Amino acid sequence: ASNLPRPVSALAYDRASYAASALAAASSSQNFVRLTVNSMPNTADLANRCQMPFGAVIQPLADPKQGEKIPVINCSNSSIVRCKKCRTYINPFVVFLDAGRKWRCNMCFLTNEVPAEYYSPLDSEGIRRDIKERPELTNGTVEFIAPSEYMVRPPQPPVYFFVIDVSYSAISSGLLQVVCQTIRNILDEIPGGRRAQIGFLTFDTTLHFYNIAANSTTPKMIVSNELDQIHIPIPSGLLVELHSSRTLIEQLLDSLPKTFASTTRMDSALGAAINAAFKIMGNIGGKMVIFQARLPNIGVGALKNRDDPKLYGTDNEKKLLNPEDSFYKDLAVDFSRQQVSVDFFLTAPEYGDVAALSCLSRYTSGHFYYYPSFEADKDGAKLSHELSRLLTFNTVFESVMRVRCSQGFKVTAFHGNFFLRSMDLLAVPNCDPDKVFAVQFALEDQQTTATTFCVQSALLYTSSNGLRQIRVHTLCVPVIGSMAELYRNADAGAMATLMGKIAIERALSSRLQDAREELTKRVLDILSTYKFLSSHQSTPGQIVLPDSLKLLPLYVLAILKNVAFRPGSDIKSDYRTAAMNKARLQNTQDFLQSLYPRLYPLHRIAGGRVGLPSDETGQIILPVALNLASDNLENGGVYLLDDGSNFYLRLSRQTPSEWMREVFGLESAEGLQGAKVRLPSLNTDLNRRVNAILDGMRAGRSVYPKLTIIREGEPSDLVFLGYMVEDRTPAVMSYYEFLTHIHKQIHASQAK
Amino acid sequence: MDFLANEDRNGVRYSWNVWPSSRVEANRLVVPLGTMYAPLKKIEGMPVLPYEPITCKGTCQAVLNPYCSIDFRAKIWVCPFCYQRNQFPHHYSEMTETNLPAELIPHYSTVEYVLNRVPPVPPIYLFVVDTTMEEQELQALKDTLILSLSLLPERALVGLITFGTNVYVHELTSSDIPKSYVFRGTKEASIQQIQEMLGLGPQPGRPAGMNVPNPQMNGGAARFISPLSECEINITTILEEMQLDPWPIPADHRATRCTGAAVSVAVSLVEAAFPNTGARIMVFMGGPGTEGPGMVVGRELREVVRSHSDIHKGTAKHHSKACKLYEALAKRAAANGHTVDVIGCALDQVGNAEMRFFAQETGGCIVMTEQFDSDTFRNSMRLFFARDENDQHQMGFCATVDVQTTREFKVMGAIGPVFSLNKRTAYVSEQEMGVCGTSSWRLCSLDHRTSVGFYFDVVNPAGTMIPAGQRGLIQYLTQYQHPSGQYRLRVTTVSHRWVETSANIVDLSAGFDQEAAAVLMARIGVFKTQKEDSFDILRWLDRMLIRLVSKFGEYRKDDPNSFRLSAQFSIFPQFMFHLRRSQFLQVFNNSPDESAYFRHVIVRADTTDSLIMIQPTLLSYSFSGPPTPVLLDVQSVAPDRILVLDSFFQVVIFHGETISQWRKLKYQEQPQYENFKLLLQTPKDDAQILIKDRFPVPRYIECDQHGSQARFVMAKLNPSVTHNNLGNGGAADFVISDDVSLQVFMDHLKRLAVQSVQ
Ligand SMILES: [Zn+2]
Ligand SMILES: [Zn+2]
Repeated sequence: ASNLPRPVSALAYDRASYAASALAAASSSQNFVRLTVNSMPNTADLANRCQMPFGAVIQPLADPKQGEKIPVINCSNSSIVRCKKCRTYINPFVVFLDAGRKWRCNMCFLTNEVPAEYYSPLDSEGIRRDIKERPELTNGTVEFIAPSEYMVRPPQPPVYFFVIDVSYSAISSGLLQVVCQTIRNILDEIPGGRRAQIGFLTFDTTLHFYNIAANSTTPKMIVSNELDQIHIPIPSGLLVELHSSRTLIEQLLDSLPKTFASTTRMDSALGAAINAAFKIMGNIGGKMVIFQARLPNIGVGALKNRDDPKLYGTDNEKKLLNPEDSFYKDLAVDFSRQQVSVDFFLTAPEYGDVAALSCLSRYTSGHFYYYPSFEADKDGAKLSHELSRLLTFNTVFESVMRVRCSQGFKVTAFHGNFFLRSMDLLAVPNCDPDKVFAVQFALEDQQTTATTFCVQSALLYTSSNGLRQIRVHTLCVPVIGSMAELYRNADAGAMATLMGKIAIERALSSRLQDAREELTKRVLDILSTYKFLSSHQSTPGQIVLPDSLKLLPLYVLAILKNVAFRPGSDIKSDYRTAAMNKARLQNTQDFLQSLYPRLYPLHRIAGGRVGLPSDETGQIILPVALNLASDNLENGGVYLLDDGSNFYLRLSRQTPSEWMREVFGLESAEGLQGAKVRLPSLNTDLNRRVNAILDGMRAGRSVYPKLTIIREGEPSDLVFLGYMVEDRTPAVMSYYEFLTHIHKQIHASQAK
Repeated sequence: MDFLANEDRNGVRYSWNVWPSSRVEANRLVVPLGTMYAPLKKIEGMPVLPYEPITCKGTCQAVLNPYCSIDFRAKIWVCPFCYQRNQFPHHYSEMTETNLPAELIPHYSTVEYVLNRVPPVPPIYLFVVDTTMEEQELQALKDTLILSLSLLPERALVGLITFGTNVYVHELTSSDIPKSYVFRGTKEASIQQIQEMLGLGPQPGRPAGMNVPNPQMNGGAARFISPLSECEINITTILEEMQLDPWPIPADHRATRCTGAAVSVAVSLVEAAFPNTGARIMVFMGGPGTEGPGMVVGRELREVVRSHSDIHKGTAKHHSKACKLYEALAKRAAANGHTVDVIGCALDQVGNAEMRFFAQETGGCIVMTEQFDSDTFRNSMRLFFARDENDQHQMGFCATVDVQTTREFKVMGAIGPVFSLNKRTAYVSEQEMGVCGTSSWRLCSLDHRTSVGFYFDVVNPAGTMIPAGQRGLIQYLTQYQHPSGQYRLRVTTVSHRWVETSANIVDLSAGFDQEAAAVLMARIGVFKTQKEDSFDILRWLDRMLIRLVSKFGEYRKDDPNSFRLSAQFSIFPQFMFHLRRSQFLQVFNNSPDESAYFRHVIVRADTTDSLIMIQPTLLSYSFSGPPTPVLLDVQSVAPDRILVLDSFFQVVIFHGETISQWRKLKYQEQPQYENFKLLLQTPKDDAQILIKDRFPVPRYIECDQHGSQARFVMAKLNPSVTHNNLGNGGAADFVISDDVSLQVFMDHLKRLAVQSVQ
């Protein structure tokens, strides 16, 4: 079993032969758009037979990779050249004709006139002579600064409106304190400079408005108990320019925790609060950041505890995974229309109805953060880190996204957080580097004569500086008739990611069981076609995995064991829904990391280079990762597991006391457990190395992995062992068994 | 008879100081038997007794008084009201005929007891402040309010509500960011909603139904109404930072001003937190309510505020709804002992006509001036919070006045800023007058001038002799919250003689106090304006007057020229002449707000002030001698005179034609005309003396003959020269709708009085 395929280091897929092609050079990098297969079949039959899902995972505003530069094309005083018919943006794959006077669209093949101001003669090879000054003709990823016709109104300012639950849970858990402190610390870094606007609303059984108009000397709190018909008490001062009300805002953030320190109000009127917030910011749009510390239980949008463990693991479990009514979804749709995006932080100590509340961010292209049973001691750092990132990363406003593809193909589905405003227009009130969308493609007809397949995603938005911009990614791959070539060009990671996203929709609309079965069937079908294809060169009885897809079975198995899909009645509905929410928004790399976390042994790092900065990159050298199989766990070993959003440090029963002393300054692991334990900073080599490893791993992440200490044999060890996806569990096979099962199935089907 | 002695010693003036012994005879007197009583009048030398009063153990609640007969040996006193024999308590054992306790000394027919009971909280002042006005006005208002705070005792409880489009209740104890609670201006929040919102509900761990008005226990309310000593900085800061209502106002609109909702929140807040304890809710308004309940005019400027004629015709579309709201609120406030003051400073009407119920029921005052940025307003507030020589505010709170009578007569009712406590005792007459059907009234707040007219009905059966020497007695028991933080009981016992009328018309006449009578009649007239048409009231007044003079005048039948009135009655017709053409009964040229204002002032004023209001005084200043009172007649106008008219609401200096010419030529600035300078200055100085302590602060006007402001004087003068005599109607109806001269009026009166058939 040790020679089974496993992901090595980077998890990234190199585009194999495609990567070297001219098409790839002019295409958007996989940092932004990652196709499941880097070519397209030319017949529907081919597509059907291979059963591979064709699609792309798109992260339009992903942080550029080291050395990657996005050309900016300023069109604010001219116009952007686009196809008259299909509105495709000019890109490297259009063809100039008629001595440069015309250009042919690579999507719909219409021949367009080249606008006079865009004209350039062609050279002998038919290439425009000005090609060097036209980055949009050589780069798959460009940024256009749009002229005024791309504005339906003056570009909106960046608006950050905070809606904070201040009922008892929010105080006792320390949420309010952490939130206020965090916001206060990053005020300087909120994007938009002097354009940024900010406002606050707190609530319990009443709503608290804050007048922070720059002309007052102190913030003023106005309490209203109108929960049904929302009533905004003052016409201005509730949403203000950050820079001019700066002192008032700091004053407010300093005093809020004190103001509510002794609250006795248990109830929380979330629905009314967000209605009020929407009334205040709705005419501008922007970011509504909600902190909710318990199940909202009064007024409009009140939710009841409908959690029912009896339904866990049954066909009816889906009831719990979907909202009971459409209140929050409807609200979200209204918000989306007004360019309001909701980022939701849920910290409920008990049931929080993630299914209902996450609708707010899901349909408004927001983020949903879930910290079950939040306590500032254990979760404060994580929340603070994630909130800081949310408030400081590049956020763009009032955006819409469209994905176009070549004639002969079509986009059949979208996945992610957005509201589909029309057939192919995604309303994305806010977008940021962490937003990920996935699309699926299919042939329009039985076959196509096209030789290339182009996909172009365009995100039109208002930048925090008030510029109207368009981020365009264009990718071109060959259309082919060879099954073998298709397989060769497959990207197992992107494919697993897309399959995961498809499975989520399936689980929510049908049953978890169906989603799981489809995943298994899909991987079987893909591999069985391949086996058939390559039967002449393989020995019977041996599983044949295409090199490109050799990890697919492992990824699918890991999906089946992920909290979102794992069979069984032991997973709280909130946790499952939260896991699905997370997966819906993850890019390939993050998704794979959460499917197949990295496991590092930490008990043998003394001496050597591990835990020290690399000479070449300066980055901390990590230990060699282990396979996720409990066979690999040695007696007395100490392991660090990283699933992308959590670090688990597992101490075994026989962890050497020397190690404990050096790293924790303790004689034994006795009593060391949970998320509240902090790794001390000690003046020992081992401690420094371990700390360096943790810091190095956290750097640059969008989520802040929280460190949890687990001791072997304690109940929490089950969480750790749950990540050993290669192990056999009562409900799901081991990796080895899974491969064997696939093999048998393929064999059985081909014997027919 | 010296009527003023009784007033000085007891604060009481009778219309008739001698009473006929039967109802039939009493009715023939035309002017009802009544008293003007000022329950808190400052009485020189009045004993303030630091012990509990001795109360009759019989059917009555009478308090020991100089009219009790005393058996010094047996230590027994006989109650003059119910004839119960009462044993003196032990601590009276030292008492002898020559060593009397103060309450038995005949001179001290009015004494005050300091009761053991202590009011639960100091007086409460809740400011309800409009924020829709001009910037400068708001600044002036804020300044005055901040100054007013410094005039309040440290221990006073204060609260602040502001309003405009919405109502804001301000938390005063928050140590951090200022906090207010908003209520929608468009609707009236129920008291339950307000309790819930402000956290005033029954406190946890407190038995239901136990409603202790204690700020320490009532943690919720203490945040909004708290001792000035603890919240002065906060409330001052809030006031300083108070800004205009921020909602935009379209050009052709009035500001959105939710006065009704604001007052409603205020009334509910105090009611929920401090029932049955002294409180003043002071509403400051810069204009009429234009939003929600209690609005008096719509927001569009093209809609004008209702006039008397609109109200009369029933076309004032907000009027009756607003009245209904304010009346209900006023009754709730009054039932809890809370006063609502209505202070409007605006060029337009603010809604006094609808809010008048607060004046009537809760004893609140109405202040009416044109701007906050004016001396009139500032002085009004200064006087309002003025302290006496003992550094006490000159007001009492949450008072009840009980009236007790001897058996021969009963009380019909009271007219003044009173609220019926519905105590139907044996002293209550079947006859009704004013606020009736009770012998106990609430005065939510009062000062030393506040006077109530009480009206009585003789029930002694006709033909039943009242034993000679037996006097009719009235005892007024006024319990009130003294500003010092004590409960006090003032006991006033007054008496009158009985006569057999037919034989003693001279005695009766001699006992007629035409001033008190005029004021008591004026109160009835004003009270009637609430329900009756002014035409009917004038007709009623005329008939009364004719009957009165016809009974008490000397004349030969059908010979008007023979008609004479004795000195006791001689000026009564004049009072009635001026009353009937006064702003109290006539609405011509006055807005409904002004009418409400004038009426509210007169129904609480004492006799002297009331008379000035009915018949203004006119003093003449000239080179020919010291200032002299002159007739309130156009004939008093002369070119070389300065007239000073005091109509109570206005003090007008009127320069005769010549004087005003000299003045314009600035003779007074030339040394050789020192005399003239003095002549100009003296009336001004005298006027300032009149104005200084008067509340409400009168308007001060200087004008010239023929100048535009001369109308303020001319309107008050008897038009003796300008009007023709009235045609000889001869009908019994004496109603004169036109403005006739006093002479014409008197001629008619005489003619009708001497007619053999009436
Ligand atoms: Zn096209
Ligand atoms: Zn008695």
